[in-house]
Amino acid sequence: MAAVEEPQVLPDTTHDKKTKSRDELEPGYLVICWNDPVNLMKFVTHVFQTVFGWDKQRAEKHMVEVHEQGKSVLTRESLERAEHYVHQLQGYSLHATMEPDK
Amino acid sequence: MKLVRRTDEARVFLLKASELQMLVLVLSQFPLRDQDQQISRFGNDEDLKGAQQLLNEAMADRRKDARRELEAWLKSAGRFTHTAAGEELMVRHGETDWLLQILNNVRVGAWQRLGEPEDLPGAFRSATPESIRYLTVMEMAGGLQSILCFDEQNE
Repeated sequence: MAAVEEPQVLPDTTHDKKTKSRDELEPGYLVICWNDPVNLMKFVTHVFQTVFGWDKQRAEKHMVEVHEQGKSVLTRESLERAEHYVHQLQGYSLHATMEPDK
Repeated sequence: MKLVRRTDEARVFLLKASELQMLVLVLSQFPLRDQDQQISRFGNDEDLKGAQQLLNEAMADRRKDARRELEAWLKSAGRFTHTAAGEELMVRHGETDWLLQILNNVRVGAWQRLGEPEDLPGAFRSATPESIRYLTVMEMAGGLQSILCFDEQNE
């Protein structure tokens, strides 16, 4: 068996003092659902359960937030995923928008 | 309209003659809402307008397909069964979300044709012969949605 030689060049062990977080590299987008007078509360709950796979309790919490506060931030996602969710919610005739998370 | 039984595959609702008429009337209005989606990219240039137009065209095609699907669904074997108690409607579990979307399209479309009133009770109080049609369709669609959602969320 051949002897294993010690490497002549050791790994560089200097540290980068400043790193970028994932959020700095890819800003997040908030998916927001807005209140409207026409969509039924039960239907909105159904949509949240279907689109996000939430249980009834979580879906109802956001539905009540929409109803009582006028809007609810449903999730924070990458641009593409946020767009995907907004389109899905709009497909159910809900008033959904997205905006950069500042 | 009430749930009479549930199997592993479907739920069966019993409808009185008047409820069946209501269902048929509401579904005959589909599609009532014209535009469902908006381009969500940020910016304000001609590209966005073009993209929105393409999306609108795609959505219009989708609604035509959905109309055909709905007609086929209504005529499909075993959809309605006449019984002594009334008409039974069979809705497969996988069809509930789709049917709710159809009903919501009609409800929201009727609301849009009423001018998107914020005050719905007020819209009823000041109903005109012209608006009563859409108010009625909107309420009927909502009633059917509530029944489908209520049972689904209490399973």
